[in-house]
This record gives sequence, structure tokens and C-alpha cells, in this order.
Amino acid sequence: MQFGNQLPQGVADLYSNDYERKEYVIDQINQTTKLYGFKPIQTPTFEYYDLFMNMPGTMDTDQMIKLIDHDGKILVLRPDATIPIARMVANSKDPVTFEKLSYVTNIFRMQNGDSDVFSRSFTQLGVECFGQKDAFIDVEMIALAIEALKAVGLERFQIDLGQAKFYQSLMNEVDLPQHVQREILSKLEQKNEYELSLILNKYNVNERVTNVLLKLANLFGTPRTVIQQAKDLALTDEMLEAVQELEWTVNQLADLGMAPFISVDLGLVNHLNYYTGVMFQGYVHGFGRSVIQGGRYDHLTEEFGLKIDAIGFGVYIDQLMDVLKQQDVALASEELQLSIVSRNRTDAFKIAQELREEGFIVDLFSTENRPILIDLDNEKLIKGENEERFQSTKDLIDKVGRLYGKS
Amino acid sequence: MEKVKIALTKGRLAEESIKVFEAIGLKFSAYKEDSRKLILPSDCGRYEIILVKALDVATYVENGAADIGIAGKDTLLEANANVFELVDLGFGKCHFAVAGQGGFDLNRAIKLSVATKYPRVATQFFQEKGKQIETIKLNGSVELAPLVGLSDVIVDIVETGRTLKENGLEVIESMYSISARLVVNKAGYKTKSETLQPFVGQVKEAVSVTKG
Repeated sequence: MQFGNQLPQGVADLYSNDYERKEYVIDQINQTTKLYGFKPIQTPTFEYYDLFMNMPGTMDTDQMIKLIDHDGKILVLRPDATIPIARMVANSKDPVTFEKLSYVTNIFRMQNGDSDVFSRSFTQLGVECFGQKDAFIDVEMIALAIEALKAVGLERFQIDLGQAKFYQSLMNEVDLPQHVQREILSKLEQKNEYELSLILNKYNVNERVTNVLLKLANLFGTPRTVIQQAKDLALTDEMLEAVQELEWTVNQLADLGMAPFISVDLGLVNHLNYYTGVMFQGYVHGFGRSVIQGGRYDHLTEEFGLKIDAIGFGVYIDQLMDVLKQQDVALASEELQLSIVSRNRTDAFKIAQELREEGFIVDLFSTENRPILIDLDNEKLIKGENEERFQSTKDLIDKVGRLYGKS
Repeated sequence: MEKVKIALTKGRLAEESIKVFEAIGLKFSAYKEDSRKLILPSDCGRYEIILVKALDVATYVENGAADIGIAGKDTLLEANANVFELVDLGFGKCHFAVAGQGGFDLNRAIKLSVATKYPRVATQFFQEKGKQIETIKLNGSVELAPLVGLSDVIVDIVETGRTLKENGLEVIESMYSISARLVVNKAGYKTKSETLQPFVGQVKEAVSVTKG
């Protein structure tokens, strides 16, 4: 029993108040995704290690939490939400042509450092849209990301857009071994111009590509300026196309009145290199971490034998709760609760049932911290200093209703 | 407007950094070597220095508790934080090295034991060479370890080599060169770009002038 009262590192209890906040946040975003036509789904908590291991260059397998099955096969606790959903869609009995799916799920990872409390298990809410690539779908997904953040009460945030194709077509211009490409990617991810130039020098990358790569680190900010600069830097038709695609998306979003939330970063690259088109990250002003991450991934389902384009994003719920706490964003007011006292418990129980049918929250066994008290024996409705008499059950329900309405 | 917080480490790095800030017209008269204050406002009131331990700079910046940080590449490598590393400031130069007693052959040791303040850096360096090691994490006076038989070699930063020499050790292999770097929180660089981007630009310029 030595560890009986302790929790393993990297997980945490959520007590009622905190969990209520979490449910509220999830609920608000879920209502929004529902309005956009997404249907909730669930994938298993653990799956075969091989599923994730065989994904080319997607995630660090050392970061997965592994278990051994009774037949000796290796299982992992869900290390990523998108890959299992792609598997599920590819395996479905009827061939999928169009599908909009949403999920709320826990993701498990071994921790990265020794201070991240939530790092081993965190909640992600996300949406995935499978179906023939359509530029308007990209726009809708970004719009949904914006609506989702608005739904939880945030006002000052930013969705930062990138284009995976721009960087990928640029790298096609040079023939570099995998490990060098990885090094370049990680330096670009850090916008580390200085070390990037050292690497490019070391491996004799040609001047044209070097020039663009070094500028890429600073190619971010207001959409119009960045897109113009990017057009001038495009070395191939493919790169130009990638920029034009991004420009179109940005213009559509501006037409929808979402320009204030949009910025562009063509140096946005991600070690999860299943992205094939638009990529985006959501930042809240005054909060140091991203709260949304997503993008288009048109080849992922091919790994499971089905070719279908897709785009999706995930919202980091735990981060979002930190934001709300830090910024004191007011959540919708908590419901009042009723409590009933009577010598006759059965009567109290019956009245409670009737009140509950009307949608009121009743706690029969605790009178502490309940703002409204019903005294059945004296036919009194007590709220703080105020007392009110009631004649019948119907009268009581009416009066309680009025109290609720007032507050 | 929100203040821009800059995480620094007390000592030479902070002094050099403040010199760079002065070159771009940002003054911190409140900074004094013997003061115990941990938060120091700039004269203009728009910036604030917070003084933290070297290894913690990356942590403060990664989590957005500071917008900007200045730290040696050695601590950044060890912390492996998810931040933008934007400027090589050119000062605080030294290098990472494997050091040991004269004539020690790295290839001869079957299981190499390495004492270091930087276990992550040491492990990664030897892993890339395909060499198994056992790290012993120490918090200072690392040079002692091979002398008293705690480890075969050490991995540490070397500036002039004097400490090594006086303790009868020598560099066996040089690993990476190091200098002070300016790092920025990823979210902040996007959401506060109108303040941070010009600031970083100015620092870059000031540094390239002094570097010649």
C-alpha cells in the first residue's frame, strides 16, 4: 500500500470544479462541430504497436507507452488520434467517399521532461474530414477552428497558416539523404537561420535552394506581404501553385470576415510529416503554447489501402483550460441547486422527482451551500433572507421557476 | 501594453546581453551585479528582465513565462526545448568536449562511464557514434570524477582549458562549439510579432556590427 495515495508522474485527478470546466469546454466545441455536420466516433484506447511503427516518419516510437499482450504482441496506448481514424475509415465495410468525423479522446505519451504534469495523458478534441480534396473544405475547416475558439469565450487568438507543399517542392529540388533533411527540418522549425546556414554549407546545397531556405525562416506575418514575398521566391511551378492555393484560402477567409484571426507562416514545418497541403496552428494572445494544430493529409489512408483525401485538426483541451483559467474567461453561469427538508422523506422524494422532471437540480441529502431551500412541512420556499409561501406542488414549481428566471 | 519579459542568467551572459540591449537603445539601469532582485524593469518600462538559472531559461521561454531568453547553446541543447532560436549573439564562446586523463582511449573502453552536467547531450553524442555509455549526472566540479575513479571521462564545456589542465585532464575529443543564443517563445513570436520581430531584428543587426 506504499503507493496507495500517490499518482504516477504525468497524470492528474480532476476534481469536480475543474472537471466541470473541462466538460463545459468540450461541450461548447462539440456543439459547434455538430453544427458543421461532424459525427462523433471512438477508436480503441490501445492498438498494435505495428500500426504506428510502420507510419513513415510520423512520430517518435520511443514516446509511446507500450504493453505486452498475452500472445506476446506489443500494444501501445493511443499515441495519436488521426492515424487510428484513418485506419478505421480505410477499413470500413462500405467504401467511404465522404465522411466528417469528430472525437474527444485521451492521448498517451511518455513524458518529455520532468516538469510537464499533463504530458503523459492529455485530452484532445478533433475533427477529420475525409473526401475528395476541395479548396472550400480547407476554408470551412479553418473557419471551424476559429468558431471553436470563439465558442469557449476567447476573443484574442490567431490561426497561423502554412503550406506543406511549398517546403516539400523546394526540397525536391535537391537530393539530400534523409538524416540531412531531418536536420534541415528541425533547424527550420526553430527558425534557426544561423545553424541552418551552417548545415546547408556543410552539405553543399545549391545556392538557389539555400537562398530560399534561409528566407523561409522569416517568411511569416501579415498574409498579403508574406504571400507576395513567397511568390517572388518560388523556384518551380509547384511552389508557385502552393502559394497561390494559400492566397486563395486567405482571401476566402477574409471575405468571410475572418481576416483579423489569420496570419501566415511559410516556414511552418512539422515533424509529423504526413501533412500535404495547408497546415495551421492556433495561438491565444498571452498564452505560450499552441492550442490547435491541424492540416491537410491526402496520403495517410493510402497506408491502409484506401486513397482518400483528408483534412483535420485537434484542439488541446488541457491547454485551453489553462488559457481560460489564466485569462479568467467567464464560463456560462452555474446552475442553482435546490434542497428539500421535510420530516416525511417520502414526500420530499416525490416533490424532488417532480422538480427534476421540470429540469431543476435537486439535492435531497445536503442543505449546505444550496441557495434555495424548500421547507415542505411549513410550505415555505427560502432563498437567503427571503421567504415565500406556496400552496401546492404546482405553485411551488411556478415559484421555483420564477426564482431561476430572475437569477 | 503587456511588458516583454526577457529571461537572463546572472553573470557574464547577462552583462553582455545588457550591453547589446544598450546598443539598441534599451537601458536597464536597475541591473546591478550585487543586487538580489530577480525582476528588473527597463528604464522605458516596456521590458522586464527576469533572472533565472541557466538551464531554466529554455523552460521559462518554452512555457511563455518569458517571451525572450538568452542562454548558452550548451544549456539549450540539454533542455531540448521547443522554442525559436533566432540569433547567435557571438559572445559566451566555448565548446563541448570529452575530456579525461592523458592517453585515455575512448575506443578501448567497453562500457564507457561519463560524468557530466549534460547527460542528454552526452548520451546523444555517443549514440550517434554508436557507442554505449553510462552517464553519471553531476552538478559541478565535474573534473573530479575521472580523478577519483567515479567515471572514465567527462563531457563538459571548455573555454580556455585551464581548469582541465590544472587538474591533469586533457581534451580527448571536441564535440560542438557553443555561444550565447537568443530564443523566443513560439506562440509569442506570432501573437506579439509587432513588438518582438523588430526587437529581434535590431538585436541581430547590433550583433552583426560588433562581430564585424
